[in-house]
Amino acid sequence: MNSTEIIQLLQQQQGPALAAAVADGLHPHVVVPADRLMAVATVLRTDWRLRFDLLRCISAIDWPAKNTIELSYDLLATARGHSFAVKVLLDRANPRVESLRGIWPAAEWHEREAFDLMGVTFLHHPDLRRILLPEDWVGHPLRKDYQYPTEYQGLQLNP
Amino acid sequence: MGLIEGIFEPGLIVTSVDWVLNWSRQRSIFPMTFGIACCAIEMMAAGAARFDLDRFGAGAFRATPRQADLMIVAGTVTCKMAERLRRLWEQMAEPRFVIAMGACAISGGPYHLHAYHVVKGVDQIVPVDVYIPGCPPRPEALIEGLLRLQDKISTRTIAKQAQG
Amino acid sequence: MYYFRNICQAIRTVAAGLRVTLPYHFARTVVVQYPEVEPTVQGRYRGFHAYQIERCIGCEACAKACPVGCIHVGKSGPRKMDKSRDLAVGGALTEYQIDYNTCLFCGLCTEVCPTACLRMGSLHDSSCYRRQDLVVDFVRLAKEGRRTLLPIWLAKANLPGWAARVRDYWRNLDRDRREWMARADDPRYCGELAQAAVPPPAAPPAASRPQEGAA
Repeated sequence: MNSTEIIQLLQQQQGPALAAAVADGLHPHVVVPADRLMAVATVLRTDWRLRFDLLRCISAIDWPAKNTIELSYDLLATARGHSFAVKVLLDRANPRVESLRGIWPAAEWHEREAFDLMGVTFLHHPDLRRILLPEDWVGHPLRKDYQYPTEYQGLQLNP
Repeated sequence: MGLIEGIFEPGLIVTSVDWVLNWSRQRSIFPMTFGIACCAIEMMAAGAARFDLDRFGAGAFRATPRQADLMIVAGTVTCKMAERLRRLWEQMAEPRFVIAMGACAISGGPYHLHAYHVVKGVDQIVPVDVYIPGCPPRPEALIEGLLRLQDKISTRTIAKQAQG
Repeated sequence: MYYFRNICQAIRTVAAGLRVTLPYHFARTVVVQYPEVEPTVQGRYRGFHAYQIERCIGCEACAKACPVGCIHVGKSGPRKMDKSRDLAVGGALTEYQIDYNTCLFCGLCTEVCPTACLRMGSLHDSSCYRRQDLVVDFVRLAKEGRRTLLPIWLAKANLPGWAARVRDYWRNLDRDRREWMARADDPRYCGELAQAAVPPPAAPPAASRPQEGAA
């Protein structure tokens, strides 16, 4: 299926849940509200025509001017051979979204990474800890307004 | 500190014992298998057949810090790794030596200016005996650093130091 | 049919692979006997810098190009090239530091150098016992008549033959331009008027320079 058909199918199934849809370009995707993400993801995973069984990555993008954090879930259907993406726009002050750990188990570590570096809270995540940085790190480094620390546990980080 | 260190006055017997101890320590350095980043590739090359660290008695890389007496910090030390590195160093038996290999281990290297997560110099965590610059250093440079470490070991003494 | 073709293909590919690796089985063991025998370094190898201070105009292009900011240049006034004598005249260079703690040996500093006075040398082994020993001030080295730093092991007494040759090569390099190297940090000699008053060194510098000059 190409991306136009995927979007049509999603609109039939979910209707008003889709906030926006981009069918052409390098990165075809749909934008869904945060509370509808779980339902859209379930359709993408279980519908027999779609069968997106591989979550390739979760990208988190910080937009300070728009006051949003954008999550992009890149999906691939290994048997069908088509790929697609789902985007969620979250409030930058309090980014919270449902965890997709139950649908794609690979999401567990991707979500931990997004939590670690961007500070996105994933609800009902089984093990939401920092994955790359030390446990006692302060702040989320990939935020655009992140202030670099001068020291960590007595180690000088500014030369 | 060992049992016999720092209790004898320097003399003929002590310097002879020094010579034997240093001779054996120099020629049987056991490095630890501690490659953190890309410098470890050069370290492996130095340990393999072409460059052959075994010629200097330092080719037996031990997989546990308790059997090793040389830690070659070969690569970027992140803040998360710093705690582990310090713990591994404390697990090593004395006398223990540290070689900082490559720009990352010496000062942060490419992460020197704009990085929040890299320790700017492994000498903030453990005392470093020999610094080997390079990005990464050639295996010959690592061998040369090892020879400088042997020079340093040969100056060690068990006699009472002037500072006490 | 496919069965036999697969067998033939398997034998052929294994033979093709062994054609590369099998000679090494019969070849003599090649161990680089490093401290005794000279290591083979390609001409394009980027080792510790070689720096011609008397031709440096102090433009700080190298310091700006450095991705880690490990080059520090200090000068008392603007310098410019005197093409006829192949010398930089004007202000004096007070410091030219390269911090080999952070240097990546990427060679970007040599690519931007307008007078090609900074090049990557061939020395590759200079370990140190202290971190500050790796901060090399080339102005101080030039006063000692050096183009590049001297590793501590090359300063030792009994060296293998190849190492002594390397040491003597760098020691005797540009012997006829020593005087200008030593004067590069002296404002009285670098000044335009003083430059005219001081006679140039005895040997003609441009002809006897052993390395390639500015492109």
